[in-house]
Amino acid sequence: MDTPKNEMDDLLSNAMQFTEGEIPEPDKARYNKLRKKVGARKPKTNPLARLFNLEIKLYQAALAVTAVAIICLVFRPAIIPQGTENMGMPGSDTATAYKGSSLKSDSFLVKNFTSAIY
Amino acid sequence: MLYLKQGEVLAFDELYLRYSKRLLGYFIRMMNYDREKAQDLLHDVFLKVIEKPELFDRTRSFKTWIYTIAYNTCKNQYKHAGVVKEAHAELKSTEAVLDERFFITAAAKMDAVEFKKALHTELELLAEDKKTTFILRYQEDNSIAEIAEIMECSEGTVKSRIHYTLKILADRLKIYNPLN
Repeated sequence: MDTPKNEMDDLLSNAMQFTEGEIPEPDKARYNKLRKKVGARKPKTNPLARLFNLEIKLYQAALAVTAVAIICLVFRPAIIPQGTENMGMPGSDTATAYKGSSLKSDSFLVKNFTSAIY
Repeated sequence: MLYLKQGEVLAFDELYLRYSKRLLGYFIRMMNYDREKAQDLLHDVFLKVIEKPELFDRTRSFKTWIYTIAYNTCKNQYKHAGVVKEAHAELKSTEAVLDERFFITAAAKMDAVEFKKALHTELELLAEDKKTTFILRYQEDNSIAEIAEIMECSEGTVKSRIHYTLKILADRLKIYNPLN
């Protein structure tokens, strides 16, 4: 257990403190040498080796697989069986659907999107 | 320390910023104001920290570890330079009774700068272990437990060294006390 500081301790502590400017700045050149020494400890590996040394956790692999699966499902090309292109019901394509619809020709939808349809 | 081990320069910068000036102050006092020698020793301490980071025990505080290195560096320097000297009057002084009021009265009667100068002059004459204990306690503001860890001795030894040193200083500083 440390004894609490008394008046004498305070007096001695004050007398032992350096005044401003009494301690010089640590030598910059030596400091830079030390820094270089620290930097030299850093292991240097080429990117390819780093790639092979990658530590991947199981959940990271699972997430990556799920993400790839979702991407594949969303962006896969539409697979339409051959010879079935015109087998839909008459008027099932967009243009025909529009022609046969009861939409008024001055409606917002028709005004803005008919050019895209045709 | 972990980052320093891995060669992170920024980790070193942080440690250097925190401890370099304090340690330089410690070495300046320990080396009797030889600033060039103090710079050398500061460099040695950080070199040891860099070269042997595995010696740092993570259960200990970094502060006590770096001070232990500083203390051992100083000790080696003292041994090497043969500067260990015991003042002749030391034994005689131990018989004197420590009067705590003395310091306070002396400081009150003396000019603060004069008291500081006298204290430092007398401190230079002290033996290395006593001087180190005193500096670690009153200059570096370490606790008794920390000093014991740094100097690898018991807390009782630290306390008795401080008491002993204060008695010596009180005895020597008597000549500066205008009352005597």
